[in-house]
Order: sequence, then structure tokens, then C-alpha cells
Amino acid sequence: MKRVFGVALGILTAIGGFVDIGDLVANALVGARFGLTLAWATVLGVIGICVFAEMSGRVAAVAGRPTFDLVRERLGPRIGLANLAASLLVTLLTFSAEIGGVALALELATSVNYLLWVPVAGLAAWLVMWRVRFSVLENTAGLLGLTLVIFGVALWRLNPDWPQLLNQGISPGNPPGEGLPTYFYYAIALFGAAMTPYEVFFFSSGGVEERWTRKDVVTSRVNVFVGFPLGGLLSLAVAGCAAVVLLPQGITVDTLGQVGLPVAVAVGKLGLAVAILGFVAATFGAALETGLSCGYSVAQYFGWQWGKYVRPREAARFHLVVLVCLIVAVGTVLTTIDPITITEYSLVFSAVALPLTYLPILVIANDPDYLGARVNGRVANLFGTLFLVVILVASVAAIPPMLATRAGQ
Amino acid sequence: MRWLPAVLAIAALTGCVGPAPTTGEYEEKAAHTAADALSQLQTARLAVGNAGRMPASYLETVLVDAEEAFGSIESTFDSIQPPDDPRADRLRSDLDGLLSDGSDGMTQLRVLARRSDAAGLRSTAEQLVATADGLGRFAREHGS
Amino acid sequence: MTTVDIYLQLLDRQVLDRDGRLVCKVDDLELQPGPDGVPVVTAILVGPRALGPRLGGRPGRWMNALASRLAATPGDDPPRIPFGAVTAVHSAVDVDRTRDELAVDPLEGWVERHIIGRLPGSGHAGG
Repeated sequence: MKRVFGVALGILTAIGGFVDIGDLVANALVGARFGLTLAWATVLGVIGICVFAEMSGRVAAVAGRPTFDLVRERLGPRIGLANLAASLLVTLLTFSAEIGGVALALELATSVNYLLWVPVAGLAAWLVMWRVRFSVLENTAGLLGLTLVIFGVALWRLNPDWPQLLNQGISPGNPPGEGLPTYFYYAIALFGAAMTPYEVFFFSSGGVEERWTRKDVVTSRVNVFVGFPLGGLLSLAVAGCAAVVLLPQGITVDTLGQVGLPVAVAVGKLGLAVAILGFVAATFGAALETGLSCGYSVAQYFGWQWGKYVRPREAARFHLVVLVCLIVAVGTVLTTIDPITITEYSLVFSAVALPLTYLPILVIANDPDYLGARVNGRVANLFGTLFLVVILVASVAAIPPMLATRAGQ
Repeated sequence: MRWLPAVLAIAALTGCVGPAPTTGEYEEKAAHTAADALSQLQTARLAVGNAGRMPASYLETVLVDAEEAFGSIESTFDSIQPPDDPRADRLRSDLDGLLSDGSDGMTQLRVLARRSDAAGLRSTAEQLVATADGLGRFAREHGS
Repeated sequence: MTTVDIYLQLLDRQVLDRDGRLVCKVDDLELQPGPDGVPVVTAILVGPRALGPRLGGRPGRWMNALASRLAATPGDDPPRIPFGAVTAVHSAVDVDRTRDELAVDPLEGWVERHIIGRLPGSGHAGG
């Protein structure tokens, strides 16, 4: 019974934890502009994160080594350091975006300017990362994030022309009035939203925090293969709501308030309150994940003690890195750069940086020295290699359309 | 060439707007401006139309954001030097009229929302239908 | 004596102490000629002064400069863990001492004493 409960909890947190500020913004933005014609990019990203997270979860459970240990072991100290710098920069950018997202959500709830909420959000995030037990932190954020299911309810209550919506989803192509570079720019943004590097740092380090063993490989797989696709459905619901309500009005999304409007239209006040709770939970949860991931990646590269399973003073430099990154993230948002803009850039740079962490995991997942009999099977390797190609293409292709379209304008 | 990526990044981040040299380009920018402004105006109208279905704080935040964005779209367009061509001048005055109507209306909406004046909000939003239609038509006629 | 592939199985691996705590990475290795002239690993070298030379280039120089600033006396050899303390080499390297006994990382202690240890709640149990 306890095991069933554990698995159910894992699935629910995986669903609730899947969506963050990047998914919210990218999906609403794309839904309002392209309908569901880019749903394939989200689907591709979800399959990718499943393949990626399954491998790193298995490595964490069997070999007890989190992602960045492997990065340094396989790429060596020099390229590993360059990788650390790039990954840290992207994660830090995402961290800033999440802190900004929390503040924007609180502004919607209170109409107090988001800049005043930024220090509050930062302090709250630090206190949780400093004091709250890992499992409590992960489960609470994940479960509260489930409130975003309200977007599914909203889409259902909007009672859209389902066949037409579905038809959009299965017939990719840029709609009239939108150029092909813009279309691909947003395809990469959606892909980056579903497949952010920090998710894997967090997932694999979390496995070590929770002392996964070989027995937990199955649990980890169920979490990934059930939780993430359902989380991806939430993303698609956000896009669907925007496609049904905002697209016909000629509204393009550039604020978090617009993301929630369809819920107000379809469900009303209470529904919107639930959605705002979901915004806060999803962004705050992701702020914790990205903040810890900054600490994880640096500490794992240098071999320092890390993690919340020891007293903070026993992992002094890990907590110092987390604290410094938090200050930088809060400072970045306080420069008054629009958090939505920060989010959009973080998505594209996520896509650029992804091969750096993906490749070492794929190599280790094939190494019997680490995994013994649990090395990649034929299916895992087929998908692993397929996605290596996809990730490389997305990484190389990310920058030119961004410059060509001035970030999708 | 170490500085090149930095320059590219800054250029991309600021999305710098230069003077529009030809009438064709000016027209394209005007159409783009109309579409962007329409998006903000429609956001405000959609929010006001559903004012009873959201907390006051939410309505106010959405209206303030839309008003600010509308203002910055308007001032960006005004900062573009139109080419010396009567057609460009006509484009400019047509769009300017729509933008200033929209901008006045959005300010009015924000003021009324802060006063929780539901009837005032409805009637002001009603008056903005013509502006929204105008912006939509402008964007369609002059867009590529 | 066992034979391992230094590059694939030893360098850059995580070192764990007797209690399973994370100590450091195998930043570099000390090799000395054995009785038959074949070099034998005699110690794990730790810290920026061990890692810096392996990085090479500008990051390596930065790390060396940083290391000599932090060092008690300039030109010190990097901290070492005698290879005799190693009990197992698997996905990590186990040693039979505690982190405190090894004392290969003065900076961790400094950060603990001066920054993190001073924040309220730094000693509460993890989980």
C-alpha cells in the first residue's frame, strides 16, 4: 500500500512539477498565434524529456551518480568546465525567469507591482531551500502545481470545435501571415520549454537525495513515463485555451495575465483563483528546482558535498552557491527586464545548451562499468540516438531564427 | 571578433528600431504596429467583458499591463521618421488617430476599473469596438 | 595491486569518505616508479592546484592564480590522499577515513565557519 502511495505521489508531483513559467508562456504564446499547429514540438519535447530523464534516473538509482558527476567524468575537466559555465548560465537565467514568474503571479492576485514581490519571492525560495526537507519541498510544489489542471477544465468548458482543434494538431505548417523562420523559432522555444536542462539536473540529483537504489528504477520509470506526458497534456491545454479564446480576438500573449484570461472566460472567478494558485505553485516550485540545480551542478563538478540530506553546514559551499545564485537571479529581475522576455530567451538558450548534458548521459547509460546489467536496451538506444540527432539539430538551429525574427517579433 | 556575439546579443535584445527609409517598409511597420496595438486593445476588452468573472486585482493588473504596452507601441511608432511621401503621411495620420483613440480609451478603462465602475467600464469598452475594428482593418489592408 | 584505466576509471571520479560523505574529486594523481620501474599510483591529488594544470589555457591559469592566493604558503603542493587509504574503486572512489581526518579542503571549512555556519538553522538536520 505504501508503495502504491509512493508511486502515485511520484506521478502526481511529476505532472504538477512539469509545467513552469517557460511552459506557461511558450504554450499560451504559441497557442494564441499558431493555434495547435505547433503541438508536435511540445509532443517531441515531452518524448525527449522522457528518454532523457529515464536514463539519468536509472544512472542515479543504479550507480548513485547524478548528472554533473558524469559530465565531468566523461568530458574531462576542461570541456566539463565549459559545460558547467554554459549550463549554469542557462539555469540561472531560468531561475530569474521563475522568480519573476512568482512575482507576476502574485501581482495578479494582489495588484501590487511585481517588482515589490521579487524580494519576497526570493527570500521565500531561499528559506525553503535552506530549511525544508527535500521530499516535502518536492511533493508540496508538485501537488499544488496540479491545480493547473484547471486549464484542462477550462478547455473542456469552452467546448471548442474538437475535430478542428485536433486537425490543427496533426497538420503542422505555418498559418497564413506567419513566416517560416518565426514558426521554427517558436517550435524550438516549445521544445526548449519541455526539455530544460535543469529538469534533468534536478531529477537525477533528487534521486540521490532520496537515496534511490536499484529497486527504485521502476518507480522512477513510472514517474517519468506517466507523469511527464500528463504534464505535457497540461501544456497542451494551456495552448488549446489560448488557441480557442485569444487567437480569434487577435490577441498575442506577452503577459501572464493574458495566459489566465481563457480560464476566467470559461470557468469564472473561482477557476481563475485556482489558476493563479497554479501559477504561483508551478513557478515557485520551478524556482526551487532551478536554484538547487545551480548548486547541484557546481558542487558536482568540483566534488563538494551537496544536497539537502545533510545539515546545511556540512554542505557549506553548496549552500553558498545557491545563495549567490539566488541573489544574482533576484538582482536580474529587479533590473526591470520583463520576466516574460527573460523566459523567452531562457527557452532558446536551453535548447542550445541541451546537447552538453544529454551526450554524457547517453554514453554512461551504455556503460556496464556504471550500470552493470541495467545498461540501455535496444529501445532506449534507438530513442536515445534519435533524440541526440533532434537535440543537436535544435541546438544548432536555435540561434539563426532568433536573430532573423528578432526573437519572434 | 570576440565582441561580435555580444553585439549580436544586444542587437537582438533591444530589437533596435531604426528610421524607416522606404514607404513600403514604413507601411509594413505601421501594419505591424496596428496588429500589436490591436492585441493590447482586445486584451483589455476581453478582460472588461469578463470583469465579473475575475478578481478586481486581476482585472486591474491586466488593464494596467495592456495600457502600458499600448503606450509603448504608440511611442515606438511615433519615433519612426516617416519617409518624405504623401502616402506615408496619410498612413501616419490614419494610424495615429486610431492609436490615440485607443490609448485614451485604455486609460479610461484603467481609471474606471480602479473605481469599480462596472457600468462605465461596459460603455467605454463598447466605444472601443470601432477603434478595434479600425486597427484590425488597418493591419489587414497594409500587412503583407 | 590492481590495474585500472586511470583515465576512464579513476580521474575525475567522486571520492567518498568512510561515512559516505562527498569529499572531493580525483583532481589529479601522484605517480611514482614502482619496484619494477612501472609507475604506480601513490596518491590522489586534490584542489585547484591539482586541477589547474589539467585544465590548461586561461581557465587553468585563473585557477592556479586563485589557488596560490588561497594557499597557506605559496608553492605548496596540493593536498593529497595517500592511495593506501582507498578501499574500492567503483562509480566512486571509497576511502577509509572521514572527511575531517582527510582535511583536503580548507575552503569548505572556511565557508562553513565564516558564512554558512553563521546563518540561523545551519545545523538543523537534513532530510
